[in-house]
Amino acid sequence: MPIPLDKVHTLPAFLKKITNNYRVLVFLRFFTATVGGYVFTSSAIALLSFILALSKQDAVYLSVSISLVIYTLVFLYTFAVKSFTTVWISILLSISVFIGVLALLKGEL
Amino acid sequence: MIDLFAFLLSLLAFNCFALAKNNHFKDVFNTRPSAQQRKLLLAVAWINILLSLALCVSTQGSYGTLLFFGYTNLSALIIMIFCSFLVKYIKLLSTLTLIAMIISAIVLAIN
Amino acid sequence: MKDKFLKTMTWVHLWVGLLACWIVYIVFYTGTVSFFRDEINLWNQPAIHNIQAQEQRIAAQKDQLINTISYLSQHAENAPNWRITLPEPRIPYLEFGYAKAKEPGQRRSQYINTQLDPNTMQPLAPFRETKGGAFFYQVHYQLYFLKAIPGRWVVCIASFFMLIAIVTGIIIHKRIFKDMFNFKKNKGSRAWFDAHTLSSVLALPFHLMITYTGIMTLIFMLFPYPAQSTYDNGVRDFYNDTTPKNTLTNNAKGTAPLVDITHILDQVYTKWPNADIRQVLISKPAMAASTVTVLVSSDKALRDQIPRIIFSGASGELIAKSQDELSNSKALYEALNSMHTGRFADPLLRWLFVLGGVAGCIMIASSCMLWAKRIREKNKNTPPSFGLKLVEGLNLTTIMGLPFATCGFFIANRLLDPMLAGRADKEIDAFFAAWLVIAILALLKRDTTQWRITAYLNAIACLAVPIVNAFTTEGNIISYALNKQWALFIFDALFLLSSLIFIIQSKKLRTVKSPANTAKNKRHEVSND
Repeated sequence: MPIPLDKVHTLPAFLKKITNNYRVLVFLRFFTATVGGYVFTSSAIALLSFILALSKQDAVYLSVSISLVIYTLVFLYTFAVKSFTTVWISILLSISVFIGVLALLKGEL
Repeated sequence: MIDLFAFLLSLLAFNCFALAKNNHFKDVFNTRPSAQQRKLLLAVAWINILLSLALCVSTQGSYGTLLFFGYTNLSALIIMIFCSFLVKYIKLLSTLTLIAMIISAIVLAIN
Repeated sequence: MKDKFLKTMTWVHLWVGLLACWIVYIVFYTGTVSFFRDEINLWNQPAIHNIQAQEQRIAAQKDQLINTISYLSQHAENAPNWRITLPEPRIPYLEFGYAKAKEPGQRRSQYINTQLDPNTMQPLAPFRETKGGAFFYQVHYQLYFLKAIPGRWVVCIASFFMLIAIVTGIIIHKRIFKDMFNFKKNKGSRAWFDAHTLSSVLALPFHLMITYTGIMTLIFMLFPYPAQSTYDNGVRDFYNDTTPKNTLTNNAKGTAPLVDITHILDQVYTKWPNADIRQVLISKPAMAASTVTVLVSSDKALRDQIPRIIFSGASGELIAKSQDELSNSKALYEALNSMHTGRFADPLLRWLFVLGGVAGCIMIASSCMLWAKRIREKNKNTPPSFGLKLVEGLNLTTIMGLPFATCGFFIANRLLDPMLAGRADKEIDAFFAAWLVIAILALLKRDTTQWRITAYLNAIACLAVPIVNAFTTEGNIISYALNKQWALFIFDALFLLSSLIFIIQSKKLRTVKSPANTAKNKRHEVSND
């Protein structure tokens, strides 16, 4: 499918226009806070329960018990930091690290 | 009886917390509290509230912390009602609380 | 910097609040009501109103078990499961029964139950079919009409927003203790704000606890991942690991007579001398692989899973039991879960919890009203926007509709024929029909007059409950007081009290200038509601 070359140079400008739109920014922050926060928490506690030096039961019990504290903190973090770029990059990065480490540890066993 | 005593401690504590504020003190005693009076009231309030918590936890463990939450809820509500609507009766409330505390303490000490 | 932070937190507080407030109100309201689940079940079931309180409830349990098991072994020896549920302080009757063989496609087997008066061990009058307190409970964690998993997810998401709202509320309330005891009545615009901050601060530890622990009860649905990363078969394996179960005699073949129950009970009482037995479950009673599970109350301990001992039914030997001492992590988890349902609460703590629940309802209701006020003030001289109508409509429907629906449920319980088929569902239909009435009123108009009308309706409905009760059952509020039937007395009394509160509300509304009305008057036009 031929790329409409005459429109390509307007694409970055278009994206910039969207992301500067207040409502879109608000929605993105909110999305990052809820969905991003959920994925962050899930991956963090999945890793945590695997690496905690407790019995399997206890590791799971402890991880789920503190899950909401983590989720709340991440949620507030996404709103507390001024730069949205910092926020989504840091969250995405952390999630990747958690899942990566967990996969690594599980793969080796 | 121990429940009652712990609750009364909490009630007195919130009574003192309220009186430590300038506007409430003025409503009751018609004069602003001196710095020393404020400090005394706050000290008494904190001692009482922590004593109440300690009593709840030492006698009933985690169950006791839940009771403590309930006592502070109820005490704060009662003091709020008195401070907003029954200002004239705050002195009476304080006296009655103290008397009830002493009586229940005696009953506890006897048993 | 700090200022911007507070501004952002205020923004978050407002907007998660708006997203969640009506669902959270329903959850808080039905949660507070469900805290009296046993009392509702009692009131809904006139057959058990006149059971005398047992004088030696725990001491009588051994004989009750011997009698019921003996009956079951004569009449249901080939049933796959027997179940005996003993009376509790708040549940006065004894119920025992056996399971019918499962039909293909049935998830759970159906039980044939008999209910006895524990004092006489005679069968009670037939029970009327009713969901009772379980209905409010199911609205609370699942919003009843939604399917199990989506409903619980909706409640979880709303509750998480509630948690965020509470935490941000703490962060932004700079003067958290400064204005704590000040409640200036009638100061118009500040009244709702004061009601909101006061009801939040007074019961703050309770609100935090109940919201956090509430989500905890559904935490494995939210986050199955820790169990999945640690166990091969995820949550199922985790549950198997953490629940005492029979692994020893499961493979035993053939039939075997059930061992004498006293042999098992003696072991229970040796281990726990004053055991308060809740239930005895016997599976495969005629087989060699039979098990007898004895569930014992944990009294005031903050335990979620009821402690149990599992015995072999054929030999009477002890197979498995709950841990006596829990590890710290398990103790934490069980404490968090048990705190929410508060099944261990004695009457003092129960009423303190209710006080917290009521404070929570006031906190949320006032926040709903504040949002409507906020939108009205932002759009002062323009016709009511869709957003405003939506918020005001949802406010009126939820806050005034739920009490009205509750009354409808209980009146239906009394008015529907006791033997009517499907009456349990019809009682619930009455609940939603009553709610719909208020919703329709809210659809038409949302001004002060409408609030007054719904207040009157609620006052009448609340008054009707004890009155209809008096005409349709043997007892009434006065006889309950005379016969010391306190649970029933308090139930009726609370409805009379609610009626009074609604009457006061309607009287107060007469003197309040509706901001919507004054705006309308200023515009000199018929609003396009």
